[in-house]
Amino acid sequence: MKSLIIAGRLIRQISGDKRTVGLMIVAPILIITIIYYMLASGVSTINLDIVEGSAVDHELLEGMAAVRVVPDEEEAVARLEAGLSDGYIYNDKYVVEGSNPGVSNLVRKVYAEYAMQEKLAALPPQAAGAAEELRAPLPVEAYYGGDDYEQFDFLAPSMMGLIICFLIFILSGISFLRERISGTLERLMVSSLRRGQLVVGYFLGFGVFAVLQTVVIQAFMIYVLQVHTYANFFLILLINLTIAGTSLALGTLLSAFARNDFQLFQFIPLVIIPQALFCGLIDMRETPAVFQYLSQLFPLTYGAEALRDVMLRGMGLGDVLPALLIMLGFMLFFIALNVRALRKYRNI
Amino acid sequence: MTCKIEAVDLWKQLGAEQVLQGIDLRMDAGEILGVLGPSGSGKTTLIKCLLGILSLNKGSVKINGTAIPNLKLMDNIGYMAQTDALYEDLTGLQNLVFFARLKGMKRKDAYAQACSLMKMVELSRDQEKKVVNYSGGMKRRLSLATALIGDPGIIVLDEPTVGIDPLLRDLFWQEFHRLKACGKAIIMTTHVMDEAEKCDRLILIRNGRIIRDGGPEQLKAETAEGTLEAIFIRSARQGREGGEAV
Ligand SMILES: Nc1ncnc2c1ncn2[C@@H]1O[C@H](COP(=O)(O)OP(=O)(O)OP(=O)(O)O)[C@@H](O)[C@H]1O
Ligand SMILES: [Mg+2]
Repeated sequence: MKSLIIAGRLIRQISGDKRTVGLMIVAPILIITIIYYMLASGVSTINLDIVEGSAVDHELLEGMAAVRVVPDEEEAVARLEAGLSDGYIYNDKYVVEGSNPGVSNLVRKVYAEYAMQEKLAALPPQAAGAAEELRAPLPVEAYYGGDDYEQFDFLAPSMMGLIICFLIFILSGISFLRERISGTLERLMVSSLRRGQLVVGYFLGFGVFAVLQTVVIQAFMIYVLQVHTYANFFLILLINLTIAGTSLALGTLLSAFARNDFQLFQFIPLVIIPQALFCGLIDMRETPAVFQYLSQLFPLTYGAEALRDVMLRGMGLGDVLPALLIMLGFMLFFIALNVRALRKYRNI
Repeated sequence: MTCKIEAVDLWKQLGAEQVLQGIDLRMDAGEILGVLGPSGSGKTTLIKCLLGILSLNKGSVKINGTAIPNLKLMDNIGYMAQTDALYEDLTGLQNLVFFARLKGMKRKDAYAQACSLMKMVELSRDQEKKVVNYSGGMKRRLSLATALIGDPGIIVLDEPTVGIDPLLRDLFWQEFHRLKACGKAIIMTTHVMDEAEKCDRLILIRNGRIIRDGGPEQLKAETAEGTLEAIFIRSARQGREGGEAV
């Protein structure tokens, strides 16, 4: 009952603050939209220069890159340095700009493909047919997902988890911190409110906004951006709310160790950035083992993996239950610590 | 209802400092107790320890014979903190209703009492305004109202009249005396000497100890000047120079 009173007050406070509500709803959509377009418009065509007089099959090359003919090597180098081309061909010399490994790889692929095509063209006609056959691509089946999955589809679940984790951490942390700083926490303690009831009240109050935020983010990703997903809307919601719960527990706990807003922000590099790096946005498979162990200390690692399992691999509640339970464990652990930390104010 | 506070040998260390060094205090219902002492002498600390919202290093506090902290007792205490301790993004009325509900009052009763208290502290016209937009004195008044909500038997006020104009202050004192007549126990800290004179009993704190305890007339009679101010200044000065109690 008392928890409901706390929750009601929080809801009144937050919903009266248009900017905070805006931040919770608009900010995630903005971030997701930007990332969506950034990822969709990565480099796909490369710019190649050919120095005039080089023995190159222009037509063949034009099918693979944006080609431009320059009069001499000096001009080619100048254009390369100015960032106008990604590489150039001068007789037998194949040059790549080389500072961006991703682009370099694309250029190298074009060179290799071009070399292969040229060799094929030089073969006698019968052999050419056989070689063409050998080069035919194998039919590959996607076990999960499909051929139309894009990079964004893969990153979407982790990103969703991360954004929810971050925003709820900041909002609940600041909110609880203010309660400490302004002295209202002490005043709450001069009533029959139990410490546990206070923490539960925070869960209920922020829970309402976490649901709202999660539903908006999910709906935006699934129905507006049309992220490829096995859209089990409620299971995704459940996972996201569990992520929000761990984040809320962590934010309110850490507020006990901050004297002001600024000190709370100092926890971001310690608890949010590692979660961002470990949550699957970057593949951890070949990182040193120590990072892989480290990643298991952070709740979002489990949450993001569960989201990927459900959204990309179509798994069900049974498959992600262990991850949910681990997060629940984190949550209860943080809550217990927080209720303990509140003993500073009243030891019953 | 009669309420008694009994504190025995209170010790509290904050940081490296022994803020309370063996405070004994008894207080009866129907009494207004003034806590005096130089800034930083431990008045706020003492009050928080009496309320059980700051844990003691040593000693015990009993309210109505029950050791605190005790959840049931808590609802019978009204506390006005030295900092305003209000929710700035709520309206004045919402603040009051919230604290009333927290003390277990029904929504309707909470609302009715909140409105009448708002009238008492002369905030009725501003009760729908958010507290961020209140002036310093308005916040103090609202803070006092939150201490009185729920009709508590023990009222603890940390510098209740700071930033309050003389007219309102007079009004508050009428209210304090009315509450006292109803058998409430009121503890307040103050730096204002003519206010201290209106208390039934005063304690003077210095270096974490009670160095004077008695009615205002009794204390005044102890000095040549015959004013509380003189006692206060003399003992505060001695404290600063590290001298022993007078
Ligand atoms: N959290 C804390 N950590 C360390 N020292 C503290 C803390 N809170 C208070 N103190 C110290 O305890 C002493 C007593 O503080 P307290 O607030 O009780 O004084 P006060 O008598 O209420 O003063 P004022 O009249 O200015 O309100 C001060 O010297 C202060 O420096
Ligand atoms: Mg004080």
